[in-house]
Amino acid sequence: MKGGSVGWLEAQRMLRVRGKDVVVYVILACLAATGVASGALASRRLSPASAEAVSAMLGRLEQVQVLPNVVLPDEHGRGAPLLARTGHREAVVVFYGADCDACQTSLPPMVKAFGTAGPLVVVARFGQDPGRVRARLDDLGLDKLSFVLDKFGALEKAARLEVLPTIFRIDSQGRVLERIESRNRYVFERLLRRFDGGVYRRVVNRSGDGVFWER
Amino acid sequence: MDRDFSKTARTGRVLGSWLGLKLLALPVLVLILVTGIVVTELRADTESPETFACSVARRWTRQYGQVGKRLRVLRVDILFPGGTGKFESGEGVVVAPVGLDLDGLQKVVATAASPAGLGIVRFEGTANQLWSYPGSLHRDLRYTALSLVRPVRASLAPEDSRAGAFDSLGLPSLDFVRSDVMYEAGLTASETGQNGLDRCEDFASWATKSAGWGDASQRFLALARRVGSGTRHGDKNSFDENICTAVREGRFSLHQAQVAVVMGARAAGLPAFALTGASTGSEYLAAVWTGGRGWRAINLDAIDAGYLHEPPALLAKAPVLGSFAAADHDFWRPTATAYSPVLDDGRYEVLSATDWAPDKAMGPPRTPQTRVRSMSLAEVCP
Repeated sequence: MKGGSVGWLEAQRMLRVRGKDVVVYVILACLAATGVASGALASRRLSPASAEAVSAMLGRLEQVQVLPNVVLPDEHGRGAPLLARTGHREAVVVFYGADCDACQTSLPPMVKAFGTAGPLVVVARFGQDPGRVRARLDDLGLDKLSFVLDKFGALEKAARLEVLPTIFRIDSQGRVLERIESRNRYVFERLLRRFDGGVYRRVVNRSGDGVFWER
Repeated sequence: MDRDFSKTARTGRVLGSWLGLKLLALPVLVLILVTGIVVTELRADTESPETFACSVARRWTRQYGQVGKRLRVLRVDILFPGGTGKFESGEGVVVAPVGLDLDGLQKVVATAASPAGLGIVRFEGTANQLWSYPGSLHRDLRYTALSLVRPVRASLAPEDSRAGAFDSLGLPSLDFVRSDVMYEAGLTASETGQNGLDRCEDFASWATKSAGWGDASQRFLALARRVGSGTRHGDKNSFDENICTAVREGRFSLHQAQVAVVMGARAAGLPAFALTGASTGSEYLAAVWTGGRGWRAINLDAIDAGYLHEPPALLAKAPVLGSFAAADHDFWRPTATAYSPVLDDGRYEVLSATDWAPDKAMGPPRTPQTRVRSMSLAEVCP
């Protein structure tokens, strides 16, 4: 072979491996094994981006267990805890927004059923202007209805509020018995039937042109 | 290659040469790859569905003692086939209805899931098991859920009560049906806008005429038989929604028959629900409230058999009044579905829906599928 050229295969055969070459190859093999193993593990887990989105999804799907007893100021700035406002009995908490069209149609039937001094707590969503909320309620003929402000957004955060209107039926401890996001009026009628063990009774007046809920 | 290899040339050995190292590296790399593929194809947990079912059955048998004999186990197996199967890649959440709470019919006592689930979400009586769907690679994704349910006819014997078993179950009386359930069971298609039937001309009069005269049981059965005479049996995965045309032509898929019977019964003044039974062939049930005899159910895939003596364990009911963001077809077809965490008009986008598992030796075996079974606690782990 002296003085002549050798082929690649022959050159590879004749070239001796040094210790550090073996080390480099072992490191490469370890890296490959680590890569494959992490890929296998990753195939069983959600990616970080998906995990975050799935976490939000679960938060939306899962029922909120309890509404916190946070202090909610009314439109005049008088603060009181949520459960003090519900009178420590079963209550209906409605998240309301002045710009939410569905809120304007769903709120009057609730006030008609529960009255303005009843177990209904209207919560103006975080960031709402109290003056504007008052004006919208007045437009709906609900001038006697008081509302409270979720001033720091703590209640809507705990309630995992996504859409308006959202209605919660809670017990005397603030435990959530029912959560409604639907605008279907029959869902609300079912809530009324469930309320406080069924104390409300649907009454149709004699002429048949009006439906009332009697306690 | 400017090193001196004159010495090596003399020996000519492969061992210790670069050629030897590279020849050794090749099988090592192949071995790593093969190991990776094998490990990826294995289940995340080494526990097989049967081992899981057995361990849960033993735990429930210990926990519920003699009462357990009167309870039913509802088993849901879900497969999203990888490899050559129809597999949707993406990541999200698998939602599978696993049992129904309905006054007068059934109560879910306990649930278990493998692999470990993300939780149970209850919506209008239906318990839904949630798992993550890590579908970034084409590999089989398998899930199993077990529910322990108490059917209404599984009354507790006095000795069970003495043992405190009744209290440990925390079960309410199944005889009492709340007024809101009856209210919901009576809401008509025109009131709820279900399945577009509110736009269906003469649906109410068709239903009333089909039900004819008699008590609730007789009228409901007459309506079901009228629909059953035009039902295409066997195709339990067909899910076409044009019910109006089906009513007009008198030809129904099983799903259309279920909608027509349930919403038709309501239009005729009979409180009714659509139910999904947890056994092959009982995916399309309908139940009517008959007053003194409580709920009575018929299998729309076997209407000629009349009312079921004892309904199977129940998976879900429809229609629902509210809106659940992760319910494909609003529980009319409560098969497991994988959803992506992307909201579209208040609902999560479907990543991969499953069909009811085909009967043995029938249908394509490598499609996403849900298989439901019900059995006694003793039968879970023979």
